[in-house]
Amino acid sequence: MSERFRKGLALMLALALAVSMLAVTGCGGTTDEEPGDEPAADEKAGGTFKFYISEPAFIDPINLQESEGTQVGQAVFDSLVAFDPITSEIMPAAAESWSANEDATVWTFKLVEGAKFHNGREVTAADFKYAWERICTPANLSEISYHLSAVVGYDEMQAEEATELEGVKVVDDYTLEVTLAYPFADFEYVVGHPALAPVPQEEVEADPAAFADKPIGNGPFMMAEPWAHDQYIKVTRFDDYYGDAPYIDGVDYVILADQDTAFLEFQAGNLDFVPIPTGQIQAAVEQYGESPDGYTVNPGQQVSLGGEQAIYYLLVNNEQEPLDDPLVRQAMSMAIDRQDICDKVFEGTREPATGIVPPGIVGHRPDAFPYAKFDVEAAKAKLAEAGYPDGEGFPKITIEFNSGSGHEDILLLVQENLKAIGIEGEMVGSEWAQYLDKLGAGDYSIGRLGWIADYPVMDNFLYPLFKTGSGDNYSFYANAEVDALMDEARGTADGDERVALFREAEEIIGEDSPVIPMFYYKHTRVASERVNDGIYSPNGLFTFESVWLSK
Amino acid sequence: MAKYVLRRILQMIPVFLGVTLILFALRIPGLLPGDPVQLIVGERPLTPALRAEIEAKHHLNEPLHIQYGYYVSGILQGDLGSSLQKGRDVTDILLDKFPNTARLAIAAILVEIVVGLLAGIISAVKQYSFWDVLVTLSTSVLVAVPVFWLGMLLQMLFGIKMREWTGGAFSLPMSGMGDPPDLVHLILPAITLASVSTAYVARIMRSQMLEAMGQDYIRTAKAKGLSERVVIFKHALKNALIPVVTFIGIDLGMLMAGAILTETVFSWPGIGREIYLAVMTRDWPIVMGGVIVVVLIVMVVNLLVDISYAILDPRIRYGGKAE
Repeated sequence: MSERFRKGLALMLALALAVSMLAVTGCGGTTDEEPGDEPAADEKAGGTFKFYISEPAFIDPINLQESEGTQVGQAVFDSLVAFDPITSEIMPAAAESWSANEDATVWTFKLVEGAKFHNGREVTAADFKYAWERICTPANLSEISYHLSAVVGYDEMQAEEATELEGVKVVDDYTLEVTLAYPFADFEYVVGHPALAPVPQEEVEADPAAFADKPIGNGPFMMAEPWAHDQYIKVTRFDDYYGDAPYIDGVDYVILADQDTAFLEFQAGNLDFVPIPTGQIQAAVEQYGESPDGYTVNPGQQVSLGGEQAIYYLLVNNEQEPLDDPLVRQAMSMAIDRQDICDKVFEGTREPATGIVPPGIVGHRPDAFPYAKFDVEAAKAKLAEAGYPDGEGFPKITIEFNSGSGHEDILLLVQENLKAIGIEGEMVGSEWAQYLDKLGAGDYSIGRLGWIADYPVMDNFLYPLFKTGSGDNYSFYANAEVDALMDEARGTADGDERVALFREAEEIIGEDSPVIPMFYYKHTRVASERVNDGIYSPNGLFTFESVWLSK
Repeated sequence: MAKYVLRRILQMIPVFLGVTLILFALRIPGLLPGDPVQLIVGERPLTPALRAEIEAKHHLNEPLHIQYGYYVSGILQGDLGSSLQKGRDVTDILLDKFPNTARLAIAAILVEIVVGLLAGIISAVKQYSFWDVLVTLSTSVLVAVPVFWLGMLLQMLFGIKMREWTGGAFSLPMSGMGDPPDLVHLILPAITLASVSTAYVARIMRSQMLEAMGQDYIRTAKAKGLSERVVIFKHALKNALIPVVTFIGIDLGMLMAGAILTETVFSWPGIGREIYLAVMTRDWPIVMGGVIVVVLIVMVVNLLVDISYAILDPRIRYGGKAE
């Protein structure tokens, strides 16, 4: 038997050796890089960026909303304006200039002349009107028509009483005039949303299904082939683009089901930009180097950890006793140890929030909410001032969340924090849709939500969340003074004055503490060594216009 | 025989209707928590016009029995509804995915047959040898190891480490099917998917072979002076094979229905991954449509396996008069 064993072992070793030799010679060509590239005139030019995404819901602007689809949409389409990828400052795009009347109700956009769709036809003002009306037609089931809710005629279209947006006027081929139902000075930011890009009517109507998989836009990149669902989306540089030509030849959006797999592919050199799995962030920083500003990635500075334009906050039911007392809400806000939660739950990938408006938003300032800090003693004092020393006589409240998304871990720590000042909370988890029903009905004491910027302006965080009666104002905050200030801000055409007014409103809101800001989100992505001047913007979109690849 | 097949097919109808009824029950308001329309649009504000359009599109405004009627007649016409999140038809999505799942399933079955049968035969014929110990041990390990873990281990080993060790000369693809789809991309997912079943095949083969080898007719064959090879392959193997074929047949049905773990780990665009992603995003029409397709595939494959029994083994009588 021992001899049989030896013989078997020897045979197996020989086999293994043969297989590995075969493999080395046979599969040597799996990397598709060819070393013999001819040196281009400009050494920055060329190369295909391999970008990880998960399967998008839509890449057609008609329903462009989640991050993955928007990532593709912003490369294929240009809206009227664009934003600086780091400062969010507004910049011309499909419109070369624009202006508003005194109270910001009538907007005139001058389009770039000679800009073309990928099918070669010139982009005109009528294409914007068509695209916007397409979004506002209820039968098209667009979920993002709210972007245009300020435009005159929107309500009529939604009620199916009109088939046109009355407020959108094509003055001539290169002039678009938009009339709003109320003053809205930040509207110039709204029209920068990638969903509000022009679409060519002839292509959409020829075959809507084909357009959904291979949209034809006016952006720097065009679809190379139809979307291969769950596999990839390929775009190549559009040579007739009116703006500055990108350096790279194109982007392969590689669709993977799982972030861990994406990171493995990155390590194998097959992807250029991926999320870092939790637990490996420190190691990645050591290995790849951190981006100095958190957004710009270069060789040796490959990890992006900058803040995002998004906030995680706790809702407080402002109509429920005793939470209707601002003192109680201030006490709760100070009772929560945000840093501790960031460390324990998020491995430092979140940053304690000190206000509701995150960094990267025009007008953001640190420490905007005076009670968004951890101070147990002050919290206890406030609670005593409200008439509940050590929580005596304070009724038991509910802490509600949508289950299955990791919120329980956060809220358990909140529950502990509140208990420390004498407030007992009961954890209640429900399914997402049911959870929203409860919030809407005011059937909760404390809840949680996240809010992501559609546009990088304070309005986007203050108006929907705190305006009396707003659909997203789930804490039922109502303050006439705040409403007046925000309305005044919306009618103020001057940017600085507008920000000043919003800050005034923000100050009052901070004092009232209708919600409890928890944390700002942070990027956790890494670029490959060949990526130069790549910018991963605070809004979560990667900028392909400036990036170039080392050969 | 024809009568038997017909009866088996007729038996599938109530099973199928039962499944649709259970699936449909999930749509009854109140059974799944929350407002279905709000589920569709997510966190976004919902205008009354959009709500009305969505309700009309999904027949949510009709009485339940009418909705069930729409549902079943839709299924019979190959219409499984449309995805809540993606605005595509579920039938299109699943038809897209099925060839990929089938591709992976066939590759896995081949691994199972070749490796499993060979390992089983060798370890039975050379009982208690090094090979036998190797097969018995390794099959125990394979059966115990979670599939997703094995998948990730293989990715790490052949995708990352192998590349490092060979200075970039050799590695295997870790995700996707390749563009255009190629065989190299099949290697790791097929091995992962086949792992547990291959172990079972080897074990069943081994025990069946051992049992067959101990039978009188084998002794007779040997006594007749037949060569070892003829005894093993012509006499023992043929009789030992029946349970193995059954196992492989049923397994093929399971694999054709998609492999959630393997497809997810390797980002293989198949039915399993689609169902997994749909569950994660609460896209019920895809989950329900996927389940219906899975049920259909399993039913059909089971039928084929049962029919092949009757062909393979004439001793088996199906529903005939007692003799």
